[in-house]
Amino acid sequence: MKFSLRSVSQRGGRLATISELGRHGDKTVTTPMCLVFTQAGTIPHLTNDMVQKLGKHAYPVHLPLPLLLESHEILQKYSNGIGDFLALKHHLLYLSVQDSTIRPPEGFNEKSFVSLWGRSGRLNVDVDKFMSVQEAFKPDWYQALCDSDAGKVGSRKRAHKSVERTLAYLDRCLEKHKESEVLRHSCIFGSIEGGSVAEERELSAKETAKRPVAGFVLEGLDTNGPLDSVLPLCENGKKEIIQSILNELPDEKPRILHGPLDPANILAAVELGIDIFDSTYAFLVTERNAALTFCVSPDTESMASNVGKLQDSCNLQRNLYETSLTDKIFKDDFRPLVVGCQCYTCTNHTRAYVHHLVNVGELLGKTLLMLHNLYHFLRFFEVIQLALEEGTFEKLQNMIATRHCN
Amino acid sequence: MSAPVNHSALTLKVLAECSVTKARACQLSLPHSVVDTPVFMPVGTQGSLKGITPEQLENSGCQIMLGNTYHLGSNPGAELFDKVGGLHKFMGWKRNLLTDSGGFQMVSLVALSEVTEEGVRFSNPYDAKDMLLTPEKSIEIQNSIGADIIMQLDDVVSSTISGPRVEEAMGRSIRWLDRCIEAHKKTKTQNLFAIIQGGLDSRLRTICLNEMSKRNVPGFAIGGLSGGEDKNDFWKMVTLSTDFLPKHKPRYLMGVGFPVDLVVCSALGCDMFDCVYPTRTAVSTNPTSKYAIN
Repeated sequence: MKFSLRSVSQRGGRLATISELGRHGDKTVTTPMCLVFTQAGTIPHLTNDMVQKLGKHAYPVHLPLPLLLESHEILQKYSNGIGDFLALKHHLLYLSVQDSTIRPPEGFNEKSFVSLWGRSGRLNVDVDKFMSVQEAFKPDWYQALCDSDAGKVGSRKRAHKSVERTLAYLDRCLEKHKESEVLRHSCIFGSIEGGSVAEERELSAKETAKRPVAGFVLEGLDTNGPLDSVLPLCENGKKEIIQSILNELPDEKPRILHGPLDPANILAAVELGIDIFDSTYAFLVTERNAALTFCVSPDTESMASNVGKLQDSCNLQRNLYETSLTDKIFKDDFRPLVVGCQCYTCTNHTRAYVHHLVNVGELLGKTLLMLHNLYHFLRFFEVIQLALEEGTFEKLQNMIATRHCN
Repeated sequence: MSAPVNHSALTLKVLAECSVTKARACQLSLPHSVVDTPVFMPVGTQGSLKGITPEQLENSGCQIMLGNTYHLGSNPGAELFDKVGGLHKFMGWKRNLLTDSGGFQMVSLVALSEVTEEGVRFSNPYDAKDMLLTPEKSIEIQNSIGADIIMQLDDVVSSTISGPRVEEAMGRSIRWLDRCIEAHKKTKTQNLFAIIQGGLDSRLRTICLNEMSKRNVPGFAIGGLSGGEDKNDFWKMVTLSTDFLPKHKPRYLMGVGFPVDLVVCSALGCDMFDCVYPTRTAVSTNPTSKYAIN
């Protein structure tokens, strides 16, 4: 994998191209980019033909390990790898350790293993098991086993343990990776731990940077789900922690930040120097029967700005990035979810129909919402890249802040 | 065979007939598109076929699907259909739709329902409101939904029941057919089918067939079967009906069914079928589904 920085803007946002993608030698991706989140091996609510409608931006796929772990033996027998098994082999496949839509309970990781929460409960995964899974799954990219449990805020001891253990896991993973024939074309990512303790974070970043990893995942920053628990990065000193980490990391390797970050948080993270995100935000918005309606370009008429003109009966409290389709005000609204949106849902269906579907609990409701939300979210990343290229990134941040933040 | 007023918005062309059985292959031309018969019609109860987009359904080759008047009449309601111009427009389905009368659900889903000559009265378990579904009301809602084929409101009794109630229901179904014909406003775009009743009694079935085929309807359904009766009784009623019904009009066997039944009943001369079996089975692994089967 080759990560080529094209530019770093004054305020820190980076544009890059990633090429030499192993199995997919001819393909490239550009960053900042979004990995398409999957749950138990599928892009939620979407069959493959629906995923095709999302176009090339749906190429990189995010496979969280927990709900796939119980398929380990089956994949060993299958031997063609997880991409083939899931009918996703034409996608770039990245396997993360945890599922970023949820916060795993604290206190369940031990020195030699990490706890993952699968379908039937807790599973203890040590390095041997972990690497055996990687060999069976054969992902394109994978995050090395890591301990992201940093204990209570400010606790130095536990934070230090998470750093030490993660480095130990990484070194052993790297050893096995080097010896592995099947993982020859796979790339391994190291994780930066250390909770909220600045010195631990620095240590973790410095040490991980010394290892021959393809890139870095910033863990333990409380950016996991559920949706409303992710605070703005400017609060609680998160921004400073991220900055201190990135200061120690080399420029020419990608940085991943997982979790359901809202658009303002995404932009803040891009500005700091993060390259890769996941689409858990779009997924969780779908799960509460809402459509993403924040402005992604001056041309699309944001539904939120439309609805703002209607009566107060409209419940838009949570925030103005999304609009709940359960609201009765849409019962006879025959416009698309977002006027001007070119996604399948908006070009074929109406707010009234989607409202009806979610109202009566029909499966198609979530399908249509997921498709729109992913399309909209992936479009946002297109816009971010464009803004960085044109030098209008600050303008984009201001627009998102003034139109959509409370 | 020809009638003074044309109440038909369909044509049936028999392409081939089996030399051994009563099976026939036909082309049924309906307002929205042509349907090749024998045809199985999947059930998209609430204006959607269990997670499939209209485009995916079209690509699968489906030419006609069902909607349920009871459900759609509650959500989104007839008024919304009037506003949007019918279910086709509402869901973006370009091909054909068929709606049932709402009668079956009212009887099967609702704990307390009462049938009188006026109609079916029941209390909706979701909102405890009292509702009366008359033949006129059913046709009115179906006119709003706008399906290519609509069904008369019939007095449905379980096929496992015998006695005077069966005859009462059969007689009432004839009278309700007449009221439906009278109430039907959109004969140029929607085809009203009669539903033959009479339980498992060949005498009653014959009376019903006699009477209903005198009415000038575009098509006939065979109702009151597929309710758990013995298969040996079932097929006899099917073949009795197809012997009697006019060949140039489509025959719709309601609520059938499993693959074997589809083959047998095609051989007995039926053209159209519907059943929740495939869609229900697909979602039955979901423990929260209210239609999960054991």
